[in-house]
Amino acid sequence: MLNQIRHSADHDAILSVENLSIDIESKRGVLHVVRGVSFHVNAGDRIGVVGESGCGKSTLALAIMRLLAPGAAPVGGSIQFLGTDLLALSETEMRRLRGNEIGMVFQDPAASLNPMMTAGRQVGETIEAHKGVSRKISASAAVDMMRSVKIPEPAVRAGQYPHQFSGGMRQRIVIAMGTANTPKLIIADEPTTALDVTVQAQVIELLEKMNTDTGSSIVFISHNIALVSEFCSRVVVMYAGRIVEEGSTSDIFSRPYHPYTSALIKSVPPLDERLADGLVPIEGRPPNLASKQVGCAFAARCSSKIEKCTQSSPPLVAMGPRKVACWVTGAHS
Amino acid sequence: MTIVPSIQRRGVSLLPTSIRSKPGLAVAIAFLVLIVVVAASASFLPYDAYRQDLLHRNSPPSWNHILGTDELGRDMLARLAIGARVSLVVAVTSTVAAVLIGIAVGAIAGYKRGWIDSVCMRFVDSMYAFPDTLFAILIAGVVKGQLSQSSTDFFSPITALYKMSGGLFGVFLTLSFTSWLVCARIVRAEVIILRSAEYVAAARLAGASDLFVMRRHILPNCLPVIIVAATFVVPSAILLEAGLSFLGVGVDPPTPSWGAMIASGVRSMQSYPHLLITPAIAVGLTLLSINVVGDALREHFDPSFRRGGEAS
Amino acid sequence: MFSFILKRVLASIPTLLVVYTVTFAIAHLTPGSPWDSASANRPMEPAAKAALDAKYNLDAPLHIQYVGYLWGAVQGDLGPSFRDPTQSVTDIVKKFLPTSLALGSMAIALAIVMGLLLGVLAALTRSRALETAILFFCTFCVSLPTYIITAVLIVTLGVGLGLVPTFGWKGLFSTSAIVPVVSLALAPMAAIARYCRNCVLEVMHKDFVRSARAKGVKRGRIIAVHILRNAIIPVVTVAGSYASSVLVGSFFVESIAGVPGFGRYFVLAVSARDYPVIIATTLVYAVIVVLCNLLVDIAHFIIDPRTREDVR
Repeated sequence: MLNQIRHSADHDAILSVENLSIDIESKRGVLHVVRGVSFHVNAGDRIGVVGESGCGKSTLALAIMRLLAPGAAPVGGSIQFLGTDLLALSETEMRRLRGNEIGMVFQDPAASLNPMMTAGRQVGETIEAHKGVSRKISASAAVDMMRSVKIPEPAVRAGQYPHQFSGGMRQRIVIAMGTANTPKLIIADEPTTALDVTVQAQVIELLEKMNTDTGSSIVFISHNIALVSEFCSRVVVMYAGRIVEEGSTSDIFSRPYHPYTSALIKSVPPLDERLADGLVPIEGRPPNLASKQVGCAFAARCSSKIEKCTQSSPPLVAMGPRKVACWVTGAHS
Repeated sequence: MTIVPSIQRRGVSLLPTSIRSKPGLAVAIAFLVLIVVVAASASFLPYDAYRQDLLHRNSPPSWNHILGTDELGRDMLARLAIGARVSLVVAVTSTVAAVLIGIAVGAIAGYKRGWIDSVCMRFVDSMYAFPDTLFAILIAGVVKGQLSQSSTDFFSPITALYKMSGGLFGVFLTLSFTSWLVCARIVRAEVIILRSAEYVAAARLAGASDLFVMRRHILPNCLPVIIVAATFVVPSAILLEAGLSFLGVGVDPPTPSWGAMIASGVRSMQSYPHLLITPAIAVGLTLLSINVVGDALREHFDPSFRRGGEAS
Repeated sequence: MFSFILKRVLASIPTLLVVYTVTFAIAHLTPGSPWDSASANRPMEPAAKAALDAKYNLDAPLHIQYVGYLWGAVQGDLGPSFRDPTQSVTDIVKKFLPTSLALGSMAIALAIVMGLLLGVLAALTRSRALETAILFFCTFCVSLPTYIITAVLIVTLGVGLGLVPTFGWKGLFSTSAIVPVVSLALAPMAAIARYCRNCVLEVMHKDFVRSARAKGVKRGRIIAVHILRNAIIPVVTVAGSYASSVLVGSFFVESIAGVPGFGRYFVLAVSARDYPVIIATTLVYAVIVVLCNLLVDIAHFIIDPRTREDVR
């Protein structure tokens, strides 16, 4: 039967997002960028969030950090982190969490680093902001941090400026910057997108190490499902601001339930076979986020849709360890 | 618990230049239109800007003379009106000339690159070392000197033109020579960007001549940038003209000019303040309006000039 | 850094040569002889004029005069003033330039400090009213010609309120300096403020500022270190270009306020065809402009590590 299931109050969950919606003001009106998203992250988890550009995954990440741009704001729901609702905190209280308990790693390391400050200073700044130590101590701690993210000759490199590093090195600095205080939760927003493939692998390795060594949970946001399938144990698939499928990586990628998930997987060309029928894109375009849709957001592009799909939006329903939001493949038959 | 904060917009609004939403812009435009109308109709006003009335010198505003009279008894309003004509005509014509020269030099330098570019830009950069006013004074001295007492036949039609315009032509020449630098730089920068566009390469491969490419592809796309340049040149031209006339090297008396009126106003500002205040307000308001309109034009044409952030 | 400076200094020599050449050409194109003003009161015999011409090399062919004067100038001899042959131009420069430089330095310092403050305030304030007020004030200041501001200030502060002397100069730190310094500083201050505001707004939304917030850095530090350090770079360039025009004082301000400075002298020289003073003044100004540009480049070098040519 249709079960509106609240996620189980798992006492291991360090982050619980509950029914979160985010609106953004734009020239075209109010965009409903995130709509009623709920998921949780346990200690030590590696969760992937996938979806195409514009599905709301980055906005979600920024909302957790309360770093949304002016004009964007949460309009409903809650974000519980270690028992505290982040949306209810004051800016000062939130600032104490940022870079301390929750760390963020951004994409595009060239833009995410201040070109006027040395690498060591930028890493040390995180430490200084929270640990109240002297410059000297934070400077040497920064060098240690740079060493742990495998930047060669960290003592020398700490005195150099971002434009003197390669892209992969810069990303490591960004990682070092965001995780210098061993946060319990690391949100990585497309950390590999701006990098070469070989460098991507190194960055993934680094994140893996952090997860196993310190037990930090990682939320890995990406549109690269191949990477996500390698690195994450659980995956959340987003489309048009909603979660359409959630489950363990192996499950989802071997037997995707939601039509969007299977289309997404099919659209990635395999490296080891010849493409018999050419590339398989997903037909159609993403929906207009300004309208509050009636019906399933994916219906227009779905090959398996039924009449009910255009009439009401399917809720996210649990099917064993899996969750799917689909009238056709969801939990009922 | 949930929080539903109001979504706040930050920064000066990034609205399209719709006049309804910017009352300041509307006022500025209205004022400029008024000035243009006054300048155009100056000859039809009941008072003659040149008629001296020595019995009523320096009189403050009265029913007879709405804005008072100057030190030779001439009606201030009439003189302001003609002065408006002088300023506007000179500013607009010299801006057009400066822009044309600037386009010519900038486009050739930017398109051809190589040694032509180096030579031109070296020259322009060196000329930048001259402070504006100083250069204008120098040129004005030469122009006035040569044109008011020319001996050769070659110059005589120009001299006639000069005398007819009451010295305006000299100011026009001076301002054109000073202002083209800015335009040249801006146009050159834009042309350099444009010439590496693919449609230019395509046109040249198809056999188009340089002139054709310039005319059809490059110059039309320079228009926004040219307009931005013009918005800088016009107010500076007005300022320069007023400054030159103030110093006595601008238009010849008795042609009224706001700058000259300010100069005489300064001389007697302690005793007859209205002589200074009236032209000062005229100049100030006109420049203010031009700057407001210029700002709006720049905001519209040059995205990098926009203020405030977009909600994203 | 030293080689950087040396390279820039060497590059400016051709610029100065061009300035010299253009000025020389203009000065000699102006018709009339240097002895006209001197002979206005005491008519001179043609023979006397010829003798003077010979004494000062004015009868030599132009190119010889060109090289001759340049050679002398390089050695520090700028020639005698034609208007008053008892004074050498070098003496005149030494007598009057320091006053103008003092006035100008104070004005530009004021402009930079106030401009930065206003710009940052306008960018960061949450009050739309304050921001609009500051912006309007800036547009207003940029629109009024400097000499009007000087005149208005003198009338209100001097004549009206009696706070400052209405004429004369008693040194940089006396009340007589207030009007000239403030009038010179207003326009650059307004321009710097607007530019600074634009830059701060642009930098505020950059990714690395977001990164700093994500690290939990305090707001004050973000503004002071992250935003300002990046926003200040273009502002330095703008300040530099205004600095050179402000540093040389201003002809208008000096004339109206009675400051015995270099600018005032220049205007007199032009009308008197005093070649050495004209050329010397222009060269001095050009050198100041070049120095200001050099200072701006050095500032860029210090502030922005990307301009230092480092190997990765």
